[in-house]
Amino acid sequence: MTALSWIARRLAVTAGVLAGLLVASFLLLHLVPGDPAVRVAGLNATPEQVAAVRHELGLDQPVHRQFLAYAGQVARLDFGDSFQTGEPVTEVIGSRLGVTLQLALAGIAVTMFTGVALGVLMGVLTRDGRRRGTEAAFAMGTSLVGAIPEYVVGALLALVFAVGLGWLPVAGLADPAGLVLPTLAVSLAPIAVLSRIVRVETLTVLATEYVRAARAKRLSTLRVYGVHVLPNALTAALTVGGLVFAGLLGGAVVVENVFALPGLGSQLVQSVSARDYPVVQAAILLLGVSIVTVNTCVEGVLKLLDPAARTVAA
Amino acid sequence: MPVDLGLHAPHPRPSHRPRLRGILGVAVTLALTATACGTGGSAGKTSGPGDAGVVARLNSDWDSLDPAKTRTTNGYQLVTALYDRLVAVDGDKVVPYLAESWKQTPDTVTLTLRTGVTCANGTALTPSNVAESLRRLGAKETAAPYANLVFGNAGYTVDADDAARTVTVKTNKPYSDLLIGLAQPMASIVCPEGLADPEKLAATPAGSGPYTLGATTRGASYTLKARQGYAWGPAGASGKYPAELTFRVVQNDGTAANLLAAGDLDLAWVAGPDLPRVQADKSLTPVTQAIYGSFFLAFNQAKGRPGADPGLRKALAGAVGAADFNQAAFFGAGDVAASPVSPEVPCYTKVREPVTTADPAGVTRALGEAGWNTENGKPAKDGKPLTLKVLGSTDYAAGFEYVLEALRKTGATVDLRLVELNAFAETLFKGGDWDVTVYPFTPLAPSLGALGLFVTGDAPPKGANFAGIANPAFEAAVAKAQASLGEERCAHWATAQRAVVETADVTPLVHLKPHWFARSGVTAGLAGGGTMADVHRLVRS
Repeated sequence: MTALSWIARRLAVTAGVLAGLLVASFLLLHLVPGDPAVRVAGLNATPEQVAAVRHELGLDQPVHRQFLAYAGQVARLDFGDSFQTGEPVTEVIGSRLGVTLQLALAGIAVTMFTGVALGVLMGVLTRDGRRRGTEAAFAMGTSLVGAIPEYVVGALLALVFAVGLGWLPVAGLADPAGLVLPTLAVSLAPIAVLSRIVRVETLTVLATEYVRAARAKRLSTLRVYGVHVLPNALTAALTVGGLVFAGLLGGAVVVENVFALPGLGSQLVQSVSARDYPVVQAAILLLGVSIVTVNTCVEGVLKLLDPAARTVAA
Repeated sequence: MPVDLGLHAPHPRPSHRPRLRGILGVAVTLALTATACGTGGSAGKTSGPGDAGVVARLNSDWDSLDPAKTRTTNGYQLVTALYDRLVAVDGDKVVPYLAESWKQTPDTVTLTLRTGVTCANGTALTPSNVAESLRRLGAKETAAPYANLVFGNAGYTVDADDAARTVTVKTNKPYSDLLIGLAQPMASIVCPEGLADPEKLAATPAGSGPYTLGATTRGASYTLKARQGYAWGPAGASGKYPAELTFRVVQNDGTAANLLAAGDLDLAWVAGPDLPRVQADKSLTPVTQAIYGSFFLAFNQAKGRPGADPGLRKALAGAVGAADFNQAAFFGAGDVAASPVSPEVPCYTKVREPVTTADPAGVTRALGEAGWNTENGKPAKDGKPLTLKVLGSTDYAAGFEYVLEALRKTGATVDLRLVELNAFAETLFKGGDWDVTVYPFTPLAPSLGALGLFVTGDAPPKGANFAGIANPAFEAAVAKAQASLGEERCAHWATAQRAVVETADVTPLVHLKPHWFARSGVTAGLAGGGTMADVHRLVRS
């Protein structure tokens, strides 16, 4: 398959997924119980007021017309106003996106760097059945860390490092250091999982003929591990990393709550509770687009890193 | 050995910590967030300890800053700082605010306004402006959700006389709660600038209050700036407004407790399992006040529902222990209730000896007296076994779990549906499928009038009488109370309280008691039945 046809196929899949998201987010307004017009007008509104709101929102139009109008709005990036606050939805989402991006990028950077480094290190240290004790401690430690829920990790980190030792802020991002504890809270479990996967991948790669051949040629250790081992052990790491990043973009709701961060996840939960459909629709679309984009990028990178794929593409 | 987490460390923290924090912050954050540069959206700087400002907790983000439109205590919290009202509540009394005096009859209040009041933009606030603001609150096109809590349901007129400095509000039917209604945050006075463009009021205040809105970071913090020359606060106000008042959005109680301990919050309401550790911190000053209302047990009395049977209601009311509910829902932090309103409300009358713990034998006896066959341990009437659907809110889930178990002990088949608060309200006020609930009746003013709005009139979907209660004795007493003043009014309110409780239309369980804590150097008072900080009594010494 040529690179061009691969890109064309990915674009077609992406377009299909986005179309599905568009329909799903539109149907959200119509399938959930309760009348959105009543939600906007308020529980004490008269039937006339509710009817006026329904007309204003276009909810008295046939469904296909409503969908076309909705698709047109989305194309113009106009998601209307929040039912709850009356603010433009783009402003509501925009004000939260920065926090979510900061946390997601910091989280994925720490996860990838630490997870891969730890996994490769443990793979090298425990190859060929060496250091059984270290391997057992690693397995136990990562199992434990991976099993602790984010909110417990977050609460413990806050109690120890913020309240107890006073080294870092308890919550919020007024101080740049405020990002440290939330980042650790969202990263620890993925680091544990990722490092285990990378260790196994590293062991597999270390046992291959081409690594033995590289050693036999007396290549430097750095070259053996950096050029021959690491890229081949990264395939699974990138796939897992993509999923972790997509999850972080979706909102680390619990961690945002524990550290009082006004991120997209908290906004989504708040908007779902308040039946604030325009915000929910926009957030779902944004997250969907983000996840599709991240997955496409990961696949692209994997394609570039995979020698077999490069050969086929050539 | 327990780990000392420094919860009781003296405040402020040792001076090396901020420096260490700074070093760590720069080093670790640079390492962590190199990729995050330029993404923006960081929270605004809040006032910290030692500043001239005060930082208070906002339990959740506000929905609107328009006094007429907001539906949440968080919205009202900011509204009370940005806007003024004609009168205020001090304890159980109405005291002067923008109005220096008034005359009241059961259907009319004539208020004489003080001079020298200016809006935040510098324009003078006249009686005509005040009248226009009050007219807007009840206007149909405003669709204010709680205007009826101020003016009642029968309509009203407002007149102003700029020369005499008076504003006269007249309700179409006697409504003696009018004066206290004018003290509520939804009756805040909107300046002409805001009335000219009401759509903007949702996010852009136009008031004459002690503060103006400064730096805001949506969802994170709101910094209010004290107005220079503000001298028209309510009677009893400190008059010493902190230069900056920052409301920091902290939804998690554990986080609020941590922020208090670390000195990053000066004033916060803390509830739930974190309450004991905050109470144990002797460096914090507790500030507590019971809500004006109560969490009361109510039965759906619609035709065909079990709760339509008064005997069954009375029997089942004894199955739910108020103290047990208090423990389950609020970790015992509330007061067991003997009336739908708390003792802080004028005309409060103790009308029920609280059922602290359930009395299964008494319930079985009462069911038998009401014609229910309980011989095989499963109550039934006319061959039909008793089945109940409990509707609960996830906000007080453990309380509803207790109600479920308490009602199951009667032998009835009971199901619980827990939903989030908005869905809870929607189910109740749109005539949803439920038999039993515990309703959080939390009026913002010390008035019994608000109770009438929920237990009289049309049932949903036309009205707010969510349980479909028809209690002629209560309605008659309320009508008389609203048409009288002074001791006579209180006598009728006492009758009303008895009437609605004795029929088990309303079974008061608990007066929730919000527990606030102020750090050393901050003096605070509460408003809205303990649900908000009183911005006029918030002082940094």
